Amino acid sequence: MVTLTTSDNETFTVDKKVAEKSVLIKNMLEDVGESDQAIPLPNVTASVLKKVLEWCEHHKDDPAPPENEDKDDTRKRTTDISEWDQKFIAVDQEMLFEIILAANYLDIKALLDVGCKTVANMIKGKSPEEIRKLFNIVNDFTPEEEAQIKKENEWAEDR
Amino acid sequence: MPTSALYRVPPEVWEHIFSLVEPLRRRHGWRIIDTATLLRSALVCKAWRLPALRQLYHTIRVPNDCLPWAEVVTRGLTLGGPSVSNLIFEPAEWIWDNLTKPTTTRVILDGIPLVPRVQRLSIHSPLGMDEADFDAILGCMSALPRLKKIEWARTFFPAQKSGEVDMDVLFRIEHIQRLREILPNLQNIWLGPILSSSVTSTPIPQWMRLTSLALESVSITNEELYHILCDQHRLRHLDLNYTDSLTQAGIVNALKCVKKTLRSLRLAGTFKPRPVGTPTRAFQPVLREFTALRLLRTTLRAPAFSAAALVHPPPILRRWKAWDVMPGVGPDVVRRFIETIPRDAGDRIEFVFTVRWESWETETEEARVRMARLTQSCQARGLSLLVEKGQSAATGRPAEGEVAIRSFIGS
Repeated sequence: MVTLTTSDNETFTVDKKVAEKSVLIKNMLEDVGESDQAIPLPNVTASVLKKVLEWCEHHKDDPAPPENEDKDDTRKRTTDISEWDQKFIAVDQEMLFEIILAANYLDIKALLDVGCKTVANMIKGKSPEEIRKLFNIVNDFTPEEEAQIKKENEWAEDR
Repeated sequence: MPTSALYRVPPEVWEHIFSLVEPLRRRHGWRIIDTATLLRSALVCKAWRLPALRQLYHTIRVPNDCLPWAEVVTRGLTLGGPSVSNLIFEPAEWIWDNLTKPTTTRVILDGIPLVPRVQRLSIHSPLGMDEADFDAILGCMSALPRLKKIEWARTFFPAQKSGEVDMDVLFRIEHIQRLREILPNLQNIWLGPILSSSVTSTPIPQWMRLTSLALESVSITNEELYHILCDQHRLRHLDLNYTDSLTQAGIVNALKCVKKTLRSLRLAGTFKPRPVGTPTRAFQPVLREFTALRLLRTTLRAPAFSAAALVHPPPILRRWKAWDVMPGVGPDVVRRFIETIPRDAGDRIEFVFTVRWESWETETEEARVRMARLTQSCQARGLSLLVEKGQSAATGRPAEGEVAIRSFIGS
């Protein structure tokens, strides 16, 4: 078993196989060897880690992704999110991005893909204004900057 | 008050998100990206601009034989070049017949300095090159520190066949030596039919990160293959497709250098077809020493090789693939291949063959007889045969007109 401590000082004790879905934790365990010491995770809160561990538990027996795979080959269709993952990631936006940040920090590529694919699907086909509204993003471009980007890349709208 | 999680997402993660935007469609293995969504994303806010534009300009294809059009693209690269990860120079099909002056070198030399972050560089049809051109192109590649993969191939033009265009200078082992000096961090190399023998050759020093090498249709000697492989101790994937200038003994001798690391090996078309029983035993005692080999790809028309190879197969071999879409490769050819599989070959190797649909038709009485013979052969070996008709090219492989045959031992 492995003990993990979150940024808000909560501890989680989990099966080593579950914890090792995170490459970061796996490498830390390899570095410290057999030890009872808790592994600190200063960038993850308890509520997010709980969610991440739920995903790791469900996917603990998944085969490791093939190494040396061309990145272009791995860009699967964004609709390829499994049914379980779709339910798992049906959370509010704040939690969605927290999971993405945690997956990136903990180096859990498959979970990062689930989160990123979900966001990519939300963006697809929307106008800039619709995207801003969806994510509550402020437009920090000047009209001139916006016009310049459009002009330089206008071919992209015409395909 | 803590910042919203969205504002803490780093640019590289945004880039990953934009890389996963569903493509409009796929064609011949290429994703036709949704450029409109990427441009609109770039217009959302300043933090999204660069990551979205990087995906918009991720892959650029530059026609290298049509100077006016290439100049337009080159002008475009001055804007989007820093975002380009894949750069492909290739001939534009519509002008093949009108080709009068090769412009490859000029286009490549203009384009490469504009793409400092490129990771994959493909150069097709380097026509009309001389030694100085080669030197210039190899020299400017040294300004690509992120380059991981290089593909360099020659396409055959109608104009070449008619003698209107001179054949270009061919890649030689010395050029590979030079490539090794300039780009010591390359991971993946694919050389098409542009590599020819040198008068002399010396071993290529170890490429520290080289894991994948394809020498397709190249014309080299056994000694040169040995010199290329003898110090590549990290090589995992090797493709010697249609490299039929080599002998089996020569290939075996060179492959011994990588027998502990090689995970996949492709020898399709490397051996001339011979009937089962002809001496082709060079591989037989050697393949079992390939302790990491999981995937073997060959042609169906070399049953003599498979017969020899399967006597003592690599210990962890999991899959044997053959992509053989020559006309006439139908049930009889597959049956002859399957009959080389020993009954005790184990229950762990999956055979996947891809052949032309036309050669597999079952409408005539003769075709039905051929199919029945194949089915009988499979049953005798405890193989179950699954035939999948190809889908249309727009929806992915196998392309229309082809059929995949999956054969599961022991299932």
